[in-house]
Amino acid sequence: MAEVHVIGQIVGASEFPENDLFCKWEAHFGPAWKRLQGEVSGQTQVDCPASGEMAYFAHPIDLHFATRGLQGWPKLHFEVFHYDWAGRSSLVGYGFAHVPSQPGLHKIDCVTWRPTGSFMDEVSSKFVGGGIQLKRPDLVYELHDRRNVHSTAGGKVHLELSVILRNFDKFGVEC
Amino acid sequence: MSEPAAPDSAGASAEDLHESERLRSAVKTKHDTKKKRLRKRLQETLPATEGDADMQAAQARVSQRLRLSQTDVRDDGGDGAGAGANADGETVADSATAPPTEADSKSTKPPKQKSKMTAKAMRRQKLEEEQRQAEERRRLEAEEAAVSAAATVGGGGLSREDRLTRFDTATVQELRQSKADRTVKLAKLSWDALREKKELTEEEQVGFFANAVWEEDEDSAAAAAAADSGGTDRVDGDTGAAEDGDILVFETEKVYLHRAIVQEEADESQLYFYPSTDAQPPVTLDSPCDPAAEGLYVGRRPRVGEGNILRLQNILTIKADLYEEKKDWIGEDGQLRILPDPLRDVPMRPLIFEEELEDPTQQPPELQREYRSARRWDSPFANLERETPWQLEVDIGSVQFLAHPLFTLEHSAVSRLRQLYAVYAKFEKLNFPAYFRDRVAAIRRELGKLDQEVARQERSQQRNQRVLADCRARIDVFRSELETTRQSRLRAEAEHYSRLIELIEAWREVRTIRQEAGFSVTDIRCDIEETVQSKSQDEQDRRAEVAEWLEERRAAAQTRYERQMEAYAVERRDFETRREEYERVRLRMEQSGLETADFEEQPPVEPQMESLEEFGQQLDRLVRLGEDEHGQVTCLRRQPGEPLVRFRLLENSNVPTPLDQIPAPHRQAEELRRNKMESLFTYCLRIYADDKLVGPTDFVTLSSNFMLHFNRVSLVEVVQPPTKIRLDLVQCQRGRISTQTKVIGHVTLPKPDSQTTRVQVNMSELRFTYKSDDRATAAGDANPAEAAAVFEGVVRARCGWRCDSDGNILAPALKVYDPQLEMYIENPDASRDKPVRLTELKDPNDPWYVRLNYHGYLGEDADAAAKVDLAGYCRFNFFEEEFDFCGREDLEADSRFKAIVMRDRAQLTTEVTKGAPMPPYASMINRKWVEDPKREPDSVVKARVSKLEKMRLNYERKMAHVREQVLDAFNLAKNYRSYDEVIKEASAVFVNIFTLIRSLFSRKRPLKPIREVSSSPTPFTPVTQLNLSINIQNGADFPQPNDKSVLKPFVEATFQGNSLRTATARGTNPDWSASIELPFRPTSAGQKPETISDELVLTVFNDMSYTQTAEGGQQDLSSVIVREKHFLASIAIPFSAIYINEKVKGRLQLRMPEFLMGYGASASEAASADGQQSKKRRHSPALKVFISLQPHLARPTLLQQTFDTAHDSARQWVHNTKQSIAILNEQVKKTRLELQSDPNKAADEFLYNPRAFVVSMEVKEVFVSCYMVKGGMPPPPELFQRGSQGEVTDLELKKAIVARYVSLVPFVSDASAFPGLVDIWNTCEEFLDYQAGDEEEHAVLLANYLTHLTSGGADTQIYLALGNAVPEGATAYVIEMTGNEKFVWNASTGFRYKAQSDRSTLVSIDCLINSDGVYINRKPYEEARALNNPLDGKTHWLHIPKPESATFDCIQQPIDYGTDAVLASEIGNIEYDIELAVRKEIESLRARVPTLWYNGGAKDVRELLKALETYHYDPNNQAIATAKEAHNRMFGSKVIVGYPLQMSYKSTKEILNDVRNTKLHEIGMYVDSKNTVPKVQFSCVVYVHQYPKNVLSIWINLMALKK
Repeated sequence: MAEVHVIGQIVGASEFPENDLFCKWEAHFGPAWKRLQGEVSGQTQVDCPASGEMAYFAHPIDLHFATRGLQGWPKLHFEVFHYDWAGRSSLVGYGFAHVPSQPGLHKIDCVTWRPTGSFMDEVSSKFVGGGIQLKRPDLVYELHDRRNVHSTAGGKVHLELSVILRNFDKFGVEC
Repeated sequence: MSEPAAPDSAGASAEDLHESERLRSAVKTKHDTKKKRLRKRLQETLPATEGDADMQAAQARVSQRLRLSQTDVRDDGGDGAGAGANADGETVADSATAPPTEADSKSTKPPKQKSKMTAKAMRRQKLEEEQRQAEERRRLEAEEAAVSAAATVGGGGLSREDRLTRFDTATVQELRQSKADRTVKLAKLSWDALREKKELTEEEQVGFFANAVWEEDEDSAAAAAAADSGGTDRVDGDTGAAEDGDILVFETEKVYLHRAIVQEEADESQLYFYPSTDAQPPVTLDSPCDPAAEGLYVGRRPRVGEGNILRLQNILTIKADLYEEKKDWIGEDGQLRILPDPLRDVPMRPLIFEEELEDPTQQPPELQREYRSARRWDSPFANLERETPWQLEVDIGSVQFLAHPLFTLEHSAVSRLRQLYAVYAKFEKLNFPAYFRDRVAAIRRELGKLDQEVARQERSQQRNQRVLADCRARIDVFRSELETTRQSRLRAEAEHYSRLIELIEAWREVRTIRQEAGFSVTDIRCDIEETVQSKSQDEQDRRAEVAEWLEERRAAAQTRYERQMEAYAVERRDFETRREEYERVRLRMEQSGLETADFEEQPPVEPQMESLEEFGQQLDRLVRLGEDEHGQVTCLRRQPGEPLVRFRLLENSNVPTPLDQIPAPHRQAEELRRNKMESLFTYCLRIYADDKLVGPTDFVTLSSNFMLHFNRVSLVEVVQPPTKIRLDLVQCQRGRISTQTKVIGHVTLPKPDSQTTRVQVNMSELRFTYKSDDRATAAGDANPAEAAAVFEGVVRARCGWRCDSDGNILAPALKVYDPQLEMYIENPDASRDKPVRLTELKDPNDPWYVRLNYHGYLGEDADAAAKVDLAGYCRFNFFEEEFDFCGREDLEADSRFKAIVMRDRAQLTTEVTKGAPMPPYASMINRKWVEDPKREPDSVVKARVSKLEKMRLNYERKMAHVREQVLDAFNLAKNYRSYDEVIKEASAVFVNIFTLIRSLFSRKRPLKPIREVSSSPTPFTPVTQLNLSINIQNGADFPQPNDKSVLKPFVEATFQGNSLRTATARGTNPDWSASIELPFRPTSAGQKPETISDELVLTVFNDMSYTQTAEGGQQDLSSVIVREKHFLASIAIPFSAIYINEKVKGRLQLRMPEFLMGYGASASEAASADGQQSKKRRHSPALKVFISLQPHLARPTLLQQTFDTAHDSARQWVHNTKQSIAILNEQVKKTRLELQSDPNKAADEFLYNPRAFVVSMEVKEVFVSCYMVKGGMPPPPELFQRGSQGEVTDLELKKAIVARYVSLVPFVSDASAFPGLVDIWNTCEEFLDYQAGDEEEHAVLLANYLTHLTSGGADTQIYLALGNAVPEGATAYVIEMTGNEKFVWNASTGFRYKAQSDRSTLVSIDCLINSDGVYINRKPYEEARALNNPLDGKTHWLHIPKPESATFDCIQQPIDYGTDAVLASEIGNIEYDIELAVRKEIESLRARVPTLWYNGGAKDVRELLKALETYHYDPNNQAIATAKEAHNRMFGSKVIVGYPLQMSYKSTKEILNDVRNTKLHEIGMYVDSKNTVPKVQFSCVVYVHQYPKNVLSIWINLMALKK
């Protein structure tokens, strides 16, 4: 019956081929976990930086979990989208990051990737936008056999998370 | 055994040398380095003892060897470095496996360098093409080698090998002699050793297999050879080698074993199983240990490098003692157990195959990707995911008739033959006898193996009891299986035999018919093949079978007996010990002179071996004669000596006899028949998807053997997957005048699975039968013989989804209807239909996957299943529970977590927690926070009032069912499109020039008011912020306070918990002219406005604000204004009424309590004084309002759906009637537009929806007059009984009573269920049975009652009126016409109005209905004035009389009032529960201040309520007056407010809502610091009055009293 608070923000995203970005995020956790408070998923605003390379979201994350075990430690899953001049959006990266298990403030860079398709897919996405997306995005954070997925590196999503643990020491977990 | 053969071996023959050399040459191994190291150590340890002679000998030997090696190479012909080169056949193989018993292999052991060099030479040889070059080079190298060898000898002394070869120069005879001796000796020795150890232990097996020589590549072969040579040296060499350590010793063992085996190869080939070196060993029945052959699924092993396997095996064998417990490293097939899936300890199907992964379309769904074009989130096409409809392919093969009116005798015989043959052929194809034969053989083989295994186990010293027991158990299982298999085989053979005989009989019949007729009409021929069998052989087989069977039985009996004997022995021993004990005790007792008795216990019965005699005889009879134990022949088989018969039916073999060859008497008839067959009938199949015709096939004529060949694939495009596909076979008979078609059979194709394509389905053969029934005959069919015809046949067809060019199946994912969401959702169980993948990590405890579970699958017998602890085995994550901090329940039950979650969901407000922060520990949480207190009273009521609730539930269930039906029908109808829907014809633009010109010349009047047409409605989106705009104009007829003070009323509007109020006006006819905007938002994003069921409540209060002097009485300094609201009247308007009608405009009749204490007394007194005034008192207060939605929302799309009509036989009439109504509707619309465009008339918008047909509970359209009973329905007579005062006889009063009764039936709206105008009309019986209905049900019942009551009076007519009312919108009322007097009854409230008074809430009339027909209003815009128009069916009304036909009979059933009365005690419970709930509610609403209850005078109040209910029709009744007086006496002086609420039976929640809306609880909320307790007491009395059919009237008297 230990508790975990995750408080922080999605600071922004950088190093993507485009800078006009927004990001969808979702927290995943195992069956032993119970969300007490806070939203487990969301979408940031679109940031079109006038200058600089990084899109800033400053999107708050505030979660409170109760857990009866260590399995299924929460992780955050991101889908970064590019918002183009025509108001359309296309995927530029998938990624996930574990919530740190050590209490304290953590700065996390979540690297991302995106699936690549056939040559024609790439060409068409180059000229008309859009692109290859996963039919089931749980591939990103689940233990699937994904050696058959071809992918390209995307940029990074920057996180700042403060983790507060409670009662773990009661069950012999030092932190 | 130190060097026993060394001298002999010195003179190894050239041949031996040759072989040995080849062996050496093969040495190239990864063990090389190790060997070298070992050898070096040896050389160091061995002292140099040899002299020159030795050196010379060595040189000679070396040179000889070199020569040999060259010839050897030449012989090999560049066969390559393959050590076990197979080119030379057996000899090579023998030598390659290095028999160490051959003397030379040891004696002529070459020095290491040399062997290496020759190997090198070999390789070079292989590389270079020219023999010669190689030779030269070799010679050079040989010289070098000789030099180096000499150097070695000279330098460090002779190596050990060299020492052994010092007798190279011995005589040939000596050598031969010694070799022979040695061979014999060694053979003896090693074979003895092998015999000793014939039962290999597990470790030995490990060693055996791990160091096997049967490796095809040269590495391992060489390794084996090297190991061989090295090991042999040690074993046969001196003991000094022991210091080489464990590894060497181990190698010795290995080699020893190996050698022993090779020696006796011929015998061993039967003893042991040699796993093949091939990657995939060919499965033969001889290989004893092939799990795949045994039916076990071994899966696909992961690819592991050969080297790794060897390494692992080596480790296992080296540390054999360490891994002793793990006996099962090596599988039965002699390979390391490597499982396909490391998660399971047995291999399980299915696996993902490699090719599946490579093909992107075959990839598992989680890996699939798709191209998604970039699109805007707000694009209107964002939701159009799919462009193409689903496509279904119906493949129709052929139809074979089994019975047809044109069948001749021969045809029917052939048809029978054909059917029998089909069965026979199917059986033949399956070939069960052979299958069972094979199975018996296989099981016997396995049994034999198991027997051997058991025997081996029993003999071996370190036997494993568990393995033994397991083997025995398996033997038992196999035996019983064998027995059943044998039985099955007998039965299968007998069945085959009997089929054959039947078939031959049928063929004979055909033949006879043909012979008798002298010609044939069918083209069937039969081919019977007989194979002669030897009788003696058959007899022998039978005997052998019996013998085998008997033998097995005996063996089984023997085992059983042994087991029983074992048990018996134990028991006997127990018994003996007990007896001895007893005897000893007895002896002692006897010695001490005590009375004793004999040991009485009986010894256990010794088991007897069961006799097999009888069984043998039985078996013999069974096998030979097919008799069972009762002497009945049940499974007769082919008798010995009978030939084997194969039967084949040949179609189209010979054309049926031509016409001219048919004998004359038959010719004409036959010709006629053939003509008929060809020309008279054509056939086609109609394909129906869910009863909708989707395509007929072509017309096909009969072929000569009564077959219809369609062979056509029809493509069906569907939007909704059909539940069934029906094929109708249609016969068209071409007559002279017209074509006669009739459906002669239909079959239903199985519904295709959502993921099945057509090619995946096999053609299914579906039978149909058709007998033309009597009706057709009665109708006067031309040919009675044909009319009574029987058609029978088989349709071959299949149906599946289509694949597009990319291989995607054009089928929808399985969807199910979710009644809660009212939409189709993807089936959560759909995944079950898909093949299960192990990688998906399904819960193995799910019984669905039991077939994947090895243990579960095999564990058919309980014992074996019990042994395997399945529950502990099957887990998602191992040790998850073990690592849990606490159980799941603890987490769920933790009150702190619960409180946090509740707080998060805003269920736990700061009011409850009193602003306290969340405590850090669960123990500090207040229990009350996390409990849900509001549920309690409702559940109590629910438990108690089971019967009434049940009725309500029944109704809801029924309505849900109806709703589903309606939706089904609607979905079906979506496929039909009318012409108007597809093509929109815009009328041609007509520019009226005159208006343009006129506007130019007209006078400019900038201030001229222009009627603005309301703006186009906005479509509803969930995010729209909506406002309820309420414009309250004025009110009328509010009660006057008794104390002659001025009434100060105000209106409070409440919607979804939000309230706003107007300012306070003055007087009983106040004028507010206030506008209120109530914002609201749908509760959930997906909610449509039509599903919002909340009500807008308008409540009128009297503002009783007064100034309270606080603390000290300085009025101007610290006075408090206390606002108190005194309830006057209220009305609730459902949101749907506002939404669907777009607005509510007009005068609302408010519901006021029967009396308000302190109000209206003067009026009441006046009424009692003057009878004329009584009517005036019944005027309830009214409120003139205008309510609309801001922004203006579009109306919901109406389900304008036509349903199947109930009047089957009068479809044409129904159609015509609808047409005429539609025409009328158009006309009216036009008129209305004209009226509206005229600003002077400014006619209101109104809904006009004249209907003559309504939808009944069966979802069929019924002519509305059928709901009206001619002469009406009698109301229950109990209604008019008034106890001591006798019966009410006055007609007007009776009407009032009946109206009251009807209005008390609970009102449950079904409007929100069907947005728009689909309204389900229940019959009166259903209405009263379910105790629920809406306006039309009330109105129909009331109209029927009133018709009955007034049927005596001539001039009174009762009509059911459909029209518009305020605030309900489209509704149903009852209209009573008595001469010029016209009244309107609102059946849901029981009120009666004069039709044309301004109080009447009915604003327009669409149609009037009575039992004779329907009058449709042609002039609805005349509002209620239309009633003045004569009902003539011409200018003002369109009369549709009810046709005189049986199908238009009244659908009402007589109502049985007597049954199912709720018990009086239950009524008492209801009273109690409601009172409790109301009190609790008021208390909880006043949580801030204490609530005091005044319980006195309840009896009086109840008395009053009873009187009010009993004499509601007559307010001046004496009983009411008396009760009121008593009530006044009791409370009159101290009452603040007091009023009885009257309602029909509703749910507790609704009752509490009504109570809350009176705001009674807000009275006396002000408490100053001096008086902590308010000076107010409350009183609540509930009275429930029961009417027939469990109609309840609920009275709640609420009072606030001065303390």
